[in-house]
Amino acid sequence: MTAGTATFLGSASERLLPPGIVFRFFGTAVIFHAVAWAVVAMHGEQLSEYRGGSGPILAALHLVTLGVFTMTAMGASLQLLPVATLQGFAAPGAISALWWLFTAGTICLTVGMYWNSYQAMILGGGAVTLSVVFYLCLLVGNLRQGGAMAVVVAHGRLAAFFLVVLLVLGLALIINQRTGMLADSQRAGISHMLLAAYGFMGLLAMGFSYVLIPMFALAPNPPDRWALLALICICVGLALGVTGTWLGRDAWAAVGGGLGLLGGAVHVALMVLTLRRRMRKRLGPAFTLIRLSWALFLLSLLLGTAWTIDLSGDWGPAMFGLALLGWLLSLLLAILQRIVPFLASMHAAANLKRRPPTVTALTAPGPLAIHLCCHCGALALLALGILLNLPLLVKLGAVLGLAGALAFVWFFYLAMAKFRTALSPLTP
Amino acid sequence: MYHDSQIAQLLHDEHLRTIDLMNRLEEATSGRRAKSAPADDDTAAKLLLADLHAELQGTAEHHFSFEEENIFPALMAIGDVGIPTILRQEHALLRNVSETLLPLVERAREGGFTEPDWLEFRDLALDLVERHITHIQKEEMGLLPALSSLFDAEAASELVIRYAEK
Repeated sequence: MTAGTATFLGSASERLLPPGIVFRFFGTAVIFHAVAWAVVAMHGEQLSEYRGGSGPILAALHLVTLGVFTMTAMGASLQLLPVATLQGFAAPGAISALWWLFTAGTICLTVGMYWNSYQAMILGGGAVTLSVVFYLCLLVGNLRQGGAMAVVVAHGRLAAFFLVVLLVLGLALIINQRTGMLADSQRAGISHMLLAAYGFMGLLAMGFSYVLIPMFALAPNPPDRWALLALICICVGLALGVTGTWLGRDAWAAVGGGLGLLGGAVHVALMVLTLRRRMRKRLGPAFTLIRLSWALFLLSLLLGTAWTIDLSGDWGPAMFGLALLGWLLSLLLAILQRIVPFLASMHAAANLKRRPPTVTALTAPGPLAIHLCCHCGALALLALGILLNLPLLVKLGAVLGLAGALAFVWFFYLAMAKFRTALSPLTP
Repeated sequence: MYHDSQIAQLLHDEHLRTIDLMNRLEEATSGRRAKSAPADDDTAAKLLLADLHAELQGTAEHHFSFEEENIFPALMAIGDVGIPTILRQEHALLRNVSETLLPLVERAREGGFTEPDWLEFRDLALDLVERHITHIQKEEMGLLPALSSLFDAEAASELVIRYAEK
């Protein structure tokens, strides 16, 4: 093996990625977050009536799901899974290439969706698919080796499975715009969204929560059997929900929603119990977002079930989508504001010449407080705008969301600036 | 948390004891009540200082040196270098903070806190609390789960005895 190849592949036993690679994923997610809010702020009037098809709303949706959720999930899993499963990914160079391809693909795809350009969508969709398949290979390979945390591994494997299905469906939806090969593209679109939110992102979020929440709160891990019960309910519920939606059998979808709600309730109960047993008394503002995300998770399942049995009004689909995105966005931004300073402080400890900054020193409370207020306000205004069918409120909510997202960019920038200072050599 | 490995369980129990002490220390050195030094006859403060003194004088050092001599080399031997290096660095930092804090604790135990001593103690104590807590978080996530695959039951038992004997 040449020196260059060795550097590219890294060490199979090394569980820590170079900090530049991990923070690249998180930094990109933070920027996509701001861009997504900017798009909604410009085109918020289309949100309440949106029922599928390309355009700014679809672009904003994918900026969030791919640009924020998947980008964060990739960065977090590539760094945290090896620590949890005790097996390195062993490929810093390849992971860097993955970031380039996925970022370029996401930009191309969302620009294509925004301008309704089929070629850009195909090109971007292809790049995203290629990078996600590569990520899957890394993920599955790592999970195969890791038997230390059975619950995390089970969630990771099922998330990988749903990712494959949603990827195929996503590509089919793009091709369908030219060929019309899908009998009902709206139902296929909803299935794609369910698989992405509950199947891929939801399962990863649930799996990592079983590791990260006890770690941050210094609490015992929840019992495996209950966590697995929640997982089974969510997966069976999702399978029924997607099949019911696809085949137009609303009763199946409703039962699926009910099962999902049961699984979600078990998961949230486990998380609440974990926090009650914690040894760390002070949890910090991130846990306000985490608690909000749990409430939105259950609300999304309630709204989704109500939608299947026509209990929600015209606002049902948009409110369901808002609760779904609000759940994952709140959770991921909370996790990001905890793990960015945590990982930065960890890597700064490798510098022998300087006393590394503490996590608190790397966490700027001002920008995070602004973000918290704006994030909650934005979700509330969006919900009101949808319920009252007032596009102006939706736009105002998105502007508030954008302000919050920029505050988050500020927090990230400050953390990185302090991290760089900590790594720089001492001046004589 | 329940650990399969005896040695992981032992180190975890030690962490719980340290977290309890750090919580008490944080409680005493933050918020409104920390604006001024505790009264000389404050029994809770005296007890906290006694426990902290024991921790700074040797309990933490015992835990750190045990890991450095027995756990980290085993991890590095299988090529896992990054995490042990970082944990070792953090041990050095915690030792450094402890060494600075110890004379303040000794002076306070003998004759109470002067105002400047209290201010210095408060800042150092909060630094120690945060560094200890984040260090334990890293060990709980990245070190203890590795021990069951790193040491078989017999080797883990030997390590438990070595920890008790030292």
